[in-house]
Amino acid sequence: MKLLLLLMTAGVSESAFAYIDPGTGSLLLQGLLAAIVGALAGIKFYWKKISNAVARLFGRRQSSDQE
Amino acid sequence: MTFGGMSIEGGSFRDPRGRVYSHDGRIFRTITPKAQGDYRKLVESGLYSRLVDKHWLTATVELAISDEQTGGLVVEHERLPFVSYPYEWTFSQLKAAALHQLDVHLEALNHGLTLSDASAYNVQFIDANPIFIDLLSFRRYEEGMLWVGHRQFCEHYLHPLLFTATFGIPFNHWLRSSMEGLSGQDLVSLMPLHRRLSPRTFLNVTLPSWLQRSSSNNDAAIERASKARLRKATLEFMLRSLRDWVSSLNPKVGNTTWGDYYEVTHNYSDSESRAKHRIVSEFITRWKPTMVWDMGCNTGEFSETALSAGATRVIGFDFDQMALEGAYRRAKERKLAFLPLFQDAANPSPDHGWNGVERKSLMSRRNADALIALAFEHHLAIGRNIPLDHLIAWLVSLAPVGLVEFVPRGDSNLDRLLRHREDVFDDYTEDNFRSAIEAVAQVDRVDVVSASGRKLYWYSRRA
Repeated sequence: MKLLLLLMTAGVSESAFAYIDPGTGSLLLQGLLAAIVGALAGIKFYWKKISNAVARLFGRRQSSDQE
Repeated sequence: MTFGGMSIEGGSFRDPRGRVYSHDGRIFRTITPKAQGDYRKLVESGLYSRLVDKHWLTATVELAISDEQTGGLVVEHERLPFVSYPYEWTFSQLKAAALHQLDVHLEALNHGLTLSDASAYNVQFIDANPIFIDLLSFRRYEEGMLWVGHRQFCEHYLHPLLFTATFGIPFNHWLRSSMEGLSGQDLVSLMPLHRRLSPRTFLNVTLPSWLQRSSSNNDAAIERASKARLRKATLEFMLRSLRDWVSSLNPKVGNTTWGDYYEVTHNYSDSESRAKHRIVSEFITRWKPTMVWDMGCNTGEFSETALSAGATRVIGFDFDQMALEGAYRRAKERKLAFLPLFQDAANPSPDHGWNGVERKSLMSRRNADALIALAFEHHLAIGRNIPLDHLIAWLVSLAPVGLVEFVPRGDSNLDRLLRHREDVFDDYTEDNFRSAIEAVAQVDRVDVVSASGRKLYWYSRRA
């Protein structure tokens, strides 16, 4: 549970203008969404490197757009 | 509590950055110095004029005076024809308001602003069209901001819609009792397991409500949660997926279809129906009212006739959700100046909420110049045991002139109301109906409209 909550709230920023109570359930959900999106973005960023690494492992040529 | 001698609106207290005042039929809003940056951004980003041009936001004029209490700005809002509340809306109206809320938010994000809340009370209807009314909900957006109004959106819009879509029970009674809407925990408790676990419900309702409960004593989690950052694209994704979901929701309905509803229940032969329409037209032509209230409006057939005859605007009331859906569809498809609303005349909307003044009663929102109440009184006098004289006095109090139908014994609709019960209505006679009117108004004219002896009484209140 602790790990899950930690994962959901990985980012850091000050929340503004909460004159209504946003509710921890809703905030944690948004934290989760942010974490998932972050993870997906991370996967996308590293995808090329990983796929190239895999390609190298199997002895194929690197894709041409690799620097 | 006063602003230059004006009275503050009872529902205007949650957001300390401004207040709404009404005076002499005009609506004013103060904007404290703290809120002026956001207000300027709203105007300067072009969002304000874009929304007002599309009739998505009430038009506002900045006044050349300042609020002596805070030194803030004073603006004047366009006045709405009638203020209605979510518990008076049909499913389709709450759904239209929900979509409007999301559309305004998405448009705001395009202009570098966001919405600080998602209260269904910030949306009103002008005829069939939703309009956003809270200028102070707009805030400057900064990358990473959370959607603070997400829970309120769920409680005010999503949960009530899901409730009616899942169980086929109108949300109106629930929303009337609870100013904060329907909580996720209450909704989840009602839902069978397979519903709780269906993907969208799980993500938007079950999971947040479980997180809310399990983190309530976990201060560290709450602290971290408030520091999460949401990318703009993710916020837009949330708004768009909620929009898709809400668009797909429909009320669960048994075997009744809207199409046959009116055909089945009215018992006028065509010539009788024509006579009734003709008399409604004559009544409207006689009084040329700006605002008509149509009590028991059903699908709005006679509201439309009143509009064709020259009434500027009609608010219709009924307690039959299906009929109201038909009426709302009529208003929308034919672009009528007609707003149908849910109301049980035997238990009309009260003054309630904080201090008993936050949301106004139907009676304190009276603004009709003329009233029509066709095939209406017998539902209350017989169906709900309201004494005729009380009922007539109430109807006459709603508008200075009116057209009220009397349904006599022997009429098939009235007999149906008495079929399974003892007839304890010795006082239900046309003579008593007439004297009840004469006690509070004068009878200007009487027209017979059916072979069963239905009559339309024209009344006008004594000056």
